Amino acid sequence: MNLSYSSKIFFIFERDLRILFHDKISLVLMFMNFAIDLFVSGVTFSQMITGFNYFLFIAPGATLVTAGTVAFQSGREIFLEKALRDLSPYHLTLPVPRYLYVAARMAAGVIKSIVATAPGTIVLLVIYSPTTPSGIVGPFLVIALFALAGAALSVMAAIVSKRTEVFITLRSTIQLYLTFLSTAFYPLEFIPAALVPLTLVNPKTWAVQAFRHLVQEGSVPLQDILALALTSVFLATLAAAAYLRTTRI
Amino acid sequence: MTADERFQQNKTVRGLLIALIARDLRVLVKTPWIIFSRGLAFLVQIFVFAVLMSRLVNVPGFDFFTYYAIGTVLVTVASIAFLTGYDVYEEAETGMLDYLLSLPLSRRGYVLTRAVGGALRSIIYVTPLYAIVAFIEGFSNLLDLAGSYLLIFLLATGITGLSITVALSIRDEDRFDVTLALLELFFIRFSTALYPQTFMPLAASVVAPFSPVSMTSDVVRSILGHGTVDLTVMLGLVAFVVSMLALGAAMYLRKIEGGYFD
Repeated sequence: MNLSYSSKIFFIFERDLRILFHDKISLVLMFMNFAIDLFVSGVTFSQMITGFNYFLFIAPGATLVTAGTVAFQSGREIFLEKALRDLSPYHLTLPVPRYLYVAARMAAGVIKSIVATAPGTIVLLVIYSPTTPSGIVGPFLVIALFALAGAALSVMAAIVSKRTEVFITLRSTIQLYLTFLSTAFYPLEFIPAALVPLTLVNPKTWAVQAFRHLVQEGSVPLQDILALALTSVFLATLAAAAYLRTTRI
Repeated sequence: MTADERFQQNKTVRGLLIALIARDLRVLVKTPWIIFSRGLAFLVQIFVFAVLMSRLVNVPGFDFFTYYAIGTVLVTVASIAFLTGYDVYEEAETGMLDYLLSLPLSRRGYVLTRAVGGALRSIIYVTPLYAIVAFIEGFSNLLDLAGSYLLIFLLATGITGLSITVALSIRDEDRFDVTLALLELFFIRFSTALYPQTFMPLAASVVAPFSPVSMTSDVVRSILGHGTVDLTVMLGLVAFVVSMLALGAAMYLRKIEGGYFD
């Protein structure tokens, strides 16, 4: 059977999407987590903070948490196939160039994130009620770009991990960094000067800022979307290069 | 049975109990990476999230940092205690549980031992974190610290019992994972560990007092703040621990007699 590259990539996408839908309960759990994050923790914190609408400030962070978790499944699958299921050698024999294979796995992570976060994103769109088309479509693009960064980081974590606990530790540490050293919970001016560089290279910082601008103003400063896109593409290139290097014969 | 035989049997049972507890504690040493990541999560939550959020929170007379720091200790204890359920589930899956149940121990004794082992593991893990919070907050009264420590241990015992009960009552792996994750989510987010009840949305504030994590955090804060302790809340916590241990033992009796894999 002689398949075109696009068909082969489609099969990789399709397989990864099946993995996502195989565990439907986890999808429900992710939505519940989002809802509790937003409507319990978010509402509670917003009652304690005055001067600006803190609820609207942190809301994008709640859906980006889900996006990050799902995007990380790309690396998790690659790790499981490598360390536990012994499937990696078989995948390397597939008639797909390795660069396309790893790109397709990361792209599948992006699509999975958009699908898994869709209910939460719709809830946010109802809350913010954006009036412009870019305010409605833009958040999905932001989630896609952020998910690309998450998928890339997870692939890199999978490449360097040989044991499950090492992968779990890397995953938790990366998610800790993405969540707490970003502007998801606090404005940039509240972050100490020593931590600002780390915050500025965090893709979540640019993702939440772009999301807020899009749903509240209907447009986004070029700087925010460019910083997010460049960080994500850079991380994806790095992850692909690392994958190619480690799977070289 | 002669007195000597009884003595020998008691010695064996005691030895077994200690061996089972030691086995649970060894998990801590075997998983240094997990300890590192959870320790790091605790430090980031205290020294980054709590510090920065305390600059944002502006409620007169309310010290968010102190409130959150104590709450983080309780949340960490609860999370570690929930892990015992995963161990028990894995033992049931691999058949190890059959061997453990062949040991000359009563079911009740076995559940109690596992719950205490899991709770000890949680408390050992959280001790340095508790010491950090006590140091930065200036809690120096040893009696207060010991009393709070005991309550944290009680909470860990109850949650370990609960996680064992869940591990024994659900056979499907996905469902087990989801149930435990949901329970952890509800116990922590619908509690007063990380934020006071007065600021919660109505639905959450109604259920929060019934969370054992709330009960413990309220009493621990009262003790460390030299306030009065609500005995009914303490009784509620004890009732939670006892009922979880009883449920765990009942699950063992119901599920295991005749074989888990039947």
